[in-house]
Amino acid sequence: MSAPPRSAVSTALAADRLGTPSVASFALTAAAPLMVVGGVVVAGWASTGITGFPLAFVLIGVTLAIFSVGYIAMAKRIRNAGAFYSYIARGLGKPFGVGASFVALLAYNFLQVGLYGIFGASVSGFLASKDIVDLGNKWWIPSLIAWAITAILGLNRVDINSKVLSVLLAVEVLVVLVWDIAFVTDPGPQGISFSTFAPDNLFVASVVGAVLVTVITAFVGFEAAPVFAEESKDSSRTVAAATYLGLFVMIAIYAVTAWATSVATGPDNVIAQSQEHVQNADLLTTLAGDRMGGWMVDVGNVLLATSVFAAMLSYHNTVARYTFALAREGVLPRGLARTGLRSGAPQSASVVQSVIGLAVIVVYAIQGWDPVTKLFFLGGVTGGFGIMILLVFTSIAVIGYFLKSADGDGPWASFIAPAIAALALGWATVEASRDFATLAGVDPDSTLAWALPASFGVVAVIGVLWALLLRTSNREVYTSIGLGGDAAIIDRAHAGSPTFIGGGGQ
Amino acid sequence: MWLSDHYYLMAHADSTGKLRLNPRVAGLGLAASVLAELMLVGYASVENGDIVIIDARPPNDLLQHSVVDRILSEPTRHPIRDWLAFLGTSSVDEVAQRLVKAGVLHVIESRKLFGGVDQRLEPVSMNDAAWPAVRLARALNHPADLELPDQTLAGIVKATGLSRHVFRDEPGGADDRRLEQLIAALPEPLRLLVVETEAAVARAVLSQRT
Repeated sequence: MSAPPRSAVSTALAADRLGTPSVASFALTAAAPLMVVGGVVVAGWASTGITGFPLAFVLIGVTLAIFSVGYIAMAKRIRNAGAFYSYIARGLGKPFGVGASFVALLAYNFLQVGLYGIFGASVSGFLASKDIVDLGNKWWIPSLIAWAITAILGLNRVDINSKVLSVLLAVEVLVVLVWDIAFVTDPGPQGISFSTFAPDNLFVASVVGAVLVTVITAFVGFEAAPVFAEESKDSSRTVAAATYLGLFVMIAIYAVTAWATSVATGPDNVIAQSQEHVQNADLLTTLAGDRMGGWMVDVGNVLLATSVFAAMLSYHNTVARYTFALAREGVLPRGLARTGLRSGAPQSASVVQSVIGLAVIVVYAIQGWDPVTKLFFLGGVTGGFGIMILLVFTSIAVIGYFLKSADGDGPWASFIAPAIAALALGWATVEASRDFATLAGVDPDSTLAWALPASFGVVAVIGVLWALLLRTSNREVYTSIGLGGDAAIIDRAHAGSPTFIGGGGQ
Repeated sequence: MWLSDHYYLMAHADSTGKLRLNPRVAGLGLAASVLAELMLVGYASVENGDIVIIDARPPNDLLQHSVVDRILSEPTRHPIRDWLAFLGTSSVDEVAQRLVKAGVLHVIESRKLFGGVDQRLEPVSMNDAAWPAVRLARALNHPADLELPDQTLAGIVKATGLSRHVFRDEPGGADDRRLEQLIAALPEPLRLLVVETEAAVARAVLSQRT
């Protein structure tokens, strides 16, 4: 017979949806590849003294791919803007879910404010090197400008258009690949050496944890795809494809570029050179400039700034939306769910995040702490550590969920893959928690070394206690935790017998 | 004036006719209002979460007629949220047209800075445009006497965040509670419509698209 009649509604709604490349580019924007290879890895080499980052990228990347199997299985079944928190709530119970949501908020905040450090340092360095203006060490001037723009865009609910982001990303990736070719065809004194892939250069006791958490920080952003499930065409396939595509691009770029950089400096020099260049975040641009001319350096610096800014805005919006979603459910004070009338933006939540960012910039500026090693890198890896904890608990939650619900996609997705991920990432987390002194560049006994990782434990416990309190004091709110604020709507007037109207999520 | 006409006027400034709300949210509010009109008059209802036409006689009002036609011409049923999203893209313009035809709004032309003409819709009478909000706020002071259309309208106002303007309430305050009770007391199809509208508005806030 003839084809089924067209549905104007279905066609119109489908046309508005995001495809895999768009979702992947949102994920990659949060990961900010140029910032990772130019900032995170260099700072990682400088502070850990270990060369084995290329190997670490491959190992962690593969572990995250295994993690994603269970993660995506959950994403298919649960729709929520706060992915980790709702999966953990459903798999391990609501108290853990709320604890997880607080960990996520803290982690993403660390990641976001850290970006102000590298933005300020690299922009002021760039301006000085071009003789445009010498800001001295007032890195915080460009940072405050970036902060102000982010705050305004956040309040007005402006996101960078996904097409613009895709173009920006494509250019970044292209430039990085060009640099990699340049580094490898004009190697350093040791020629083309693969020693940075040797396990001995990674698994060094009492430092490997630092490397692993640095590498995880590089990958943060890959987990963004499920957030777009509602808005994507064929959501299960798009979410899965975007996640794996993003991971693959990240693993390839990070491992190859880190390796190529070590080839360009020579593996024996890469640590020393990193330490020399880390505060201006210009190791890669310098190496590229030596081989291709000054204009390459300029291109690199401009792209680095745009890459960081895009990520800054992305994390700001992530925190604001997360806060809004939690406030809507009643887990956070409802005032934080207030939206701007004309903007439709999560106004209160955006302001709170902006205030946090401002406070951090001001404190660092007054105290004179280094913006790249002590704000960007330390903030970044602390945030990455929080995400690591979430990854471990999410994997356990996946197992918990499928034990209860038995509607899984088979033992690999429901149990085996999550178990492998939980064990591997769990081990990495324990190692990393011991190595914070190295990351912070302080004595092992200093407060900072344990206070930073412990902060997540503290907020997690607060979250769990808060959830238990809600269980007794406000049953309606407690029952709605983790169900997906917009997919399941509690009938508030029927107190005691909530009815759920299933929306999109099955 | 129909329910969606009231909502339209509440959602726009009395003097300039400019939108007070985020355009996407206003679209959802107006889509919900038009669907509410259909339900209140008995043309449409909700079955299993889907919008269905229960009375196939064509409505007299042009806009209602057009929406009923669109629902009837679909090969399958669609849930409330899909209709809100679909109708939401055109609802502001369509209700505006109805108000222009009714003489409540008129077109104001003004010269643009670099040539060309700008067309805006302004209320003919500022007082008349302000009336729906004043009327509803007053009616809410006597909740026991509220009739179904006003109950529904109040619900949609709350769902789209317009209550801040109309009722000057604070989240979690007494008016908020009263509105929630009103919504809960609505007959099931209308209640579902309001609740789905609120969810759609939250999705709009959470979405990554501007």
